[in-house]
Amino acid sequence: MINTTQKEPSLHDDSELATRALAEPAAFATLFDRYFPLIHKYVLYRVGDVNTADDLTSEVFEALMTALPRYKPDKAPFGAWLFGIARHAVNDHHRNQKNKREVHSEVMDQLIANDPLPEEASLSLEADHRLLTALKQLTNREKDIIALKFAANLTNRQIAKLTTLGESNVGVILYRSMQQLRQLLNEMEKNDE
Amino acid sequence: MNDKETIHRFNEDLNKILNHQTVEMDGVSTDYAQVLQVANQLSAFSSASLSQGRLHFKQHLLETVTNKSRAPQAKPRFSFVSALGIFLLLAFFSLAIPPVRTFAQEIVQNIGNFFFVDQPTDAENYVSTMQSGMPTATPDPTIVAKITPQFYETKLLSAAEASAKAGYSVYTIGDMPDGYTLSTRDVLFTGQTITADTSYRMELDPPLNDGLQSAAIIALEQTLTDATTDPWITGTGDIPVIEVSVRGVKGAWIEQIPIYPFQNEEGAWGYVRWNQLIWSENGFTFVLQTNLPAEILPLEEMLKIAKSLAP
Repeated sequence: MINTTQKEPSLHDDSELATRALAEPAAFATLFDRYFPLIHKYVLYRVGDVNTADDLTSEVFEALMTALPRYKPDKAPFGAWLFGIARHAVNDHHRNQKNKREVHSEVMDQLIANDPLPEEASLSLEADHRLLTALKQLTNREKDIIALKFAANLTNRQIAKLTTLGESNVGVILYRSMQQLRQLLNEMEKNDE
Repeated sequence: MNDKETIHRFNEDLNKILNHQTVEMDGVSTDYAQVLQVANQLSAFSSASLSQGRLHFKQHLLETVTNKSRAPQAKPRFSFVSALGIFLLLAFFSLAIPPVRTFAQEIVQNIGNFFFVDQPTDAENYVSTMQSGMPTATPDPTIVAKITPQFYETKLLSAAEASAKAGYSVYTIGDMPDGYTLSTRDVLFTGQTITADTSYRMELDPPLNDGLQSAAIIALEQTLTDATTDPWITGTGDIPVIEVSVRGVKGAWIEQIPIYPFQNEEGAWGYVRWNQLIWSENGFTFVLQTNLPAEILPLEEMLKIAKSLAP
């Protein structure tokens, strides 16, 4: 038996809140508090670097301010729509980075810098660091699907719609990606021993 | 199980993980168990705490939204008599109320008797004073009286007893989030004003802020004010004062404002920061405040609590 844990809130249907967000700061603040952790996690899973994730998450929310007047609740749930914006932001970032030399991630340094010290926390940071390092070795498409699944908590059908893949194809890619991640994590553990 | 069945089962188990349900592991292979373990790790991972400057970014966005939310004003069509009246009124105020005029250019927001000014907070001033080496042994007591009456040792009066002591109907909260218990209710006489203070408390296990914060507190101050009450001039430092609507009136939302300073074992200064919702209604100035960050107790929840207030 595996006991599941989740620290982040799951997606709500916040369409109604979204329609009020530009007129009511309280509504916007609620949307921000609810979605910032999810968007940040999505972006970090895709780019593997906390500083870049910070920048891109900020860009997503700046873009949200501009795009909110055009949001149509009957077309898409707010969460899925917002993750569409986040996907564009990350895809643009990858396009811009394509011809640039890859900058090494400083995830571990950042993780340690934010570490309040207890031993279990350090172990957890080490595990998180390995996870992010392993994630970076997947393809963009695999990272995108994993991020949409685990950060946005979207269904395979919703992911299929966003990525223009078939629903069953999404399920297969998810499973294969997870197998690959497990393999990469096992190798890292062996190398560390 | 063939490959197709494994993938099908994996996606079902994955949904259970994401929906916080327990996944049965009887009879599964070690490989499969490890894959689910990775899925669990991906689900539980939280990156937001690694984010730098999240709060400042939020404040920046909220300021933008606040500015946008102010509906464009229709061009007023004043008659000559109205314009003259306003001119005379302004002239009267500028001559008759010099104390207000002296700090008028620095006022960020005004709610009831509160004048928020673009100056360091009292807590920051106190630290500056201490760091400059000036021999100030204790903070100015009026600073405490203005901002944090809840830190006095207070009693737990009934609403009726508090109303009798205050000489006015003390408001009570009708809709408090689960888990909080009423811990204090008392009336404080701070010279010119009478403040009814009510606090709710919930023990935190584990504590927040590296073990420093062992309880969540939601406190309400209700202060009777009138035209003769001196303005309360409060510096807000670089913390934005966000205009919000509370119970149908203009209010202010101030997030993570330094309330009081402390020194750690190495002597470095830090601040205990609270979130405050302030508004003025029926001759009272209300301050609803909490030591919880907005990620845990968002503005919307605070507005809900405020909405449930009744005399």
